Amino acid sequence: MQINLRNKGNVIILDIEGNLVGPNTIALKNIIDDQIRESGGEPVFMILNMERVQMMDSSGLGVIVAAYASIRRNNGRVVLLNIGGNIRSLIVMAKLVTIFDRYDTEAEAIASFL
Amino acid sequence: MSETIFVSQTTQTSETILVIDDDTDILALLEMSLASDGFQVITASDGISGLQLAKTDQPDLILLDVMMPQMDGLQVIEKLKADTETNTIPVLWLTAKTQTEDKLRGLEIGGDDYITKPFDLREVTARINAVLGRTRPVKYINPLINAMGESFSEAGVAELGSHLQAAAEIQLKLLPEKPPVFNEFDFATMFRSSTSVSGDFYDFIPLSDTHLGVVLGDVKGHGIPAALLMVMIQTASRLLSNQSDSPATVLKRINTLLFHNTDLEQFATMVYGILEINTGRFTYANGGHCPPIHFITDSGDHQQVEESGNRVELLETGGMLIGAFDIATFSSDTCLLSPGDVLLLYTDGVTETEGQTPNNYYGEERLINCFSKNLTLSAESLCDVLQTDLMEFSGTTQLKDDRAVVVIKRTDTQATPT
Repeated sequence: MQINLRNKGNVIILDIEGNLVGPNTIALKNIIDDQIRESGGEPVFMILNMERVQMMDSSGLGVIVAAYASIRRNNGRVVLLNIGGNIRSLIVMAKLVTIFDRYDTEAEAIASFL
Repeated sequence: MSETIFVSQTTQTSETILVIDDDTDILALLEMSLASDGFQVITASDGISGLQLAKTDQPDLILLDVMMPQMDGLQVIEKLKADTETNTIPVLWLTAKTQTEDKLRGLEIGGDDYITKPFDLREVTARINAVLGRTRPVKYINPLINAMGESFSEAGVAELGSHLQAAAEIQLKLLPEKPPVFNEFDFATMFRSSTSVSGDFYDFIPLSDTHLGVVLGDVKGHGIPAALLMVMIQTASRLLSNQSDSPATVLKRINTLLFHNTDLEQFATMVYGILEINTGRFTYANGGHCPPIHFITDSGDHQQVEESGNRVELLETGGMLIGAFDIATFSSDTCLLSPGDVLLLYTDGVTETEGQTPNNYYGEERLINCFSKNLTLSAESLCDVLQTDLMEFSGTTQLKDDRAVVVIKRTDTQATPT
């Protein structure tokens, strides 16, 4: 799995490539944790770009759920960009549609933080 | 706007080789050759950055040039061996020197083998594989050594092994030994664990002579942490199911309990339902779990979903997954099992069973088809048919995920009271 980190203004964008399954998800968790730590308690604004993620399992869901909770604690926000059918149905099944805002373009996702 | 900051290292199953050599032609050649052999390759053109990469990227093996400016290979290996983060990584020398003395010194100081330049690329791969073959078990056991600390010994490991086995036995005992027996219903279960202890669970809770609680769920992750959480949920559901007639209320209480007592990332998905034996009514709440499937065999006026020509109802009503959000709310719903109908509860280990081609999963559709064709069979036979179909699909009996299945079939032929 490959994760690319970009900043646009104060928004952190993680471009994720590969499947978010099993032990693969640790890399994403570590990167998100690092960003939260580096923010020193300031709100974190994060976009998870899932365009190149075909598959996600419960471990992957665990990472984004934990990200949501810890980012929210400091009044930050994490949103999902370009999620495909498989991931969408997992989020629907877990009844998390009301938790995660989802966007189809980067511009919309960034605008949501303004 | 700042651009790419870093790319995380691979977490695929292939092994990573770090090549440290000041000759960039050799780096390029080895990178190409080893990558085509399926290794992940990272390179450094001097000793200092090589050491840094060894620490941050934790390669499975290091190819190390002896002669380099600034910090030579012997200094690099001394530092590698002096650092607990890198001292177990095997090192293969790349040396232009053919003198025996150098070879011996290299091995004495900690190298595992050496390759003399100019080298044959096939020989490099063969030697790497030979060294990895010897060191792989050491790599696997390192996390164990770290976790056990001072208690790591032959006796300590044996004790841990027996504890693990005991934990698996305790867990199996917590699952109902036999499905309940009723004249009106036929029950069967399937439970398989990918590790010695599992995060999947199911339970039957007798609530009265005519009411049976049915639980099936999946704790995120595998192994002991998942199993401990599973025990907590199972205990909670046994206690709480007797305190409320509403599955939604039971899930809400389990959610609160888990939310306050576990880490953020720990959660479970589960279905809890109450089966009324006399009427076939199944009142349930689904906490973020893959929906149980109700296979409808008569033309009753249930809410129906057309799926590949078969009438099925997916039991989706409920709420979020359990234990992650304090604010989660749940609702209950009812489905009516008529004579001949089958209710299938399962964990995602079934539908996420991998096929023999990449990104190909068993899926809900095939599961529905598998059952729909065999609804006249007994609950137990349906489990067997599913088991066979899963093996056929995956081409293996090895499991990557835990699996739990509960099949409930209404067998009586009486008219259903409405």
